Amino acid sequence: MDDEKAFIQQLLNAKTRDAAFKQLVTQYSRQLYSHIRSIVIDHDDTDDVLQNTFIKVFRNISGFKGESKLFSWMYRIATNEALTFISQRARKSGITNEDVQQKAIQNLQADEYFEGDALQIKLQEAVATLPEKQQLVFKMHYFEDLKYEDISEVLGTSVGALKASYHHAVKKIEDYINTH
Amino acid sequence: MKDFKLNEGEKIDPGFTTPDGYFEDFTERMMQQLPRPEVRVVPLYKRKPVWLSAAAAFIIMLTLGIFFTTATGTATKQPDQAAIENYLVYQTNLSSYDLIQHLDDEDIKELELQIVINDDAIEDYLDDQNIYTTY
Repeated sequence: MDDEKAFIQQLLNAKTRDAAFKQLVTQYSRQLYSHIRSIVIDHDDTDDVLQNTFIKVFRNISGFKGESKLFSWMYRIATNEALTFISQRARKSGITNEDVQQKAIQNLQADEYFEGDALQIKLQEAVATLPEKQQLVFKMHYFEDLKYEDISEVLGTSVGALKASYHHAVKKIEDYINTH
Repeated sequence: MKDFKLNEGEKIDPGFTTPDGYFEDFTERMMQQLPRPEVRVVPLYKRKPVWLSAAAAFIIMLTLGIFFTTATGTATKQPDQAAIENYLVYQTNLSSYDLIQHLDDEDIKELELQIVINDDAIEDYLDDQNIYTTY
C-alpha cells in the first residue's frame, strides 16, 4: 500500500509523471485490454476504449483519493468507458445495447483477432443474454480470474451478492448452451 | 448428449487475440497521446508591471497620434502648387493652350519673375522649333 502511495506521488509529480505513467500503462494494459475486450468484443473498438481509459486515468489521477486500490479504480474507469461505448454505439445505430453486443459476437468469426471455435462463440452469445451486471460479474470472475473481493471493490457490490450473481449467471449460460 | 457444465472440464478461453507486439506498441502510442499540461495563463489584470507598461504605451501612442494629426492635418487638406500643376498636366485633358487662356496679366508678370530663362535656352528652343532669326 505504501508502495502504491509512493507510485501515485510519482504520477502526480511533473518530473516523474511520464516515467511513472509509462510503467502504469505497461503494467496494466494487458489486464484492462482483456476486461474491455470482453465487453466490447471487437479488437479495434477495444483499442479505442483502452486509450480513452488511460487518458481518463492520466487526467484524473490528481483526484484519486486512495480509498480503493489504484487497480480497482482503473478497472472501474475501464468498465464505465466500455459500457458508455456500447451505449453510444446503440444510440447512433438506433438499436439496443444487447443488439450491439450480439452484432459484435456475430462478427467474431470474421475477426482477424479471434481464434475461437463454435463453443467459444456460443459461450459469448450465452453471456450476452445475461443482464449487464451479471455479465460483468461472470466475465471478471470466469474469464479474468478476479477474486470476488476485487470485483466487489470495482463494482461496489457485496461479495455475497456477487457469488449469488455468478451462480445465476453460470446456470443461465449452461441452459443457453444446452438448448441452442 | 451429456448436459454441458461450465465448471466441468477445461476452462473455456474467450479466444481473443491481439496483433503481434500490440502491447509494446500501445505503450508508445499512449505516451505520445497524453494530454500535455496547459500553459498557465496569468490574467493581465493580475500583473501590475504589465498594466503599467500598457498604460504608458497607450498614453505615448495617444500623445504622438494627437501631435501628428494636428501637425499634418492642415497640410494634407490643401495640395501644394506642384501637385496641382502635375494634376493639371498629367491627369486632365487640358492642353497648355487651355491654361494660357486663363492667365491674366498679373499671372504673366508673376511667371516672368519666377521663370529665369537664359539666352542659350532661348536659342535652343528656337532651333528645336525651326524658327530662325537673324540679328
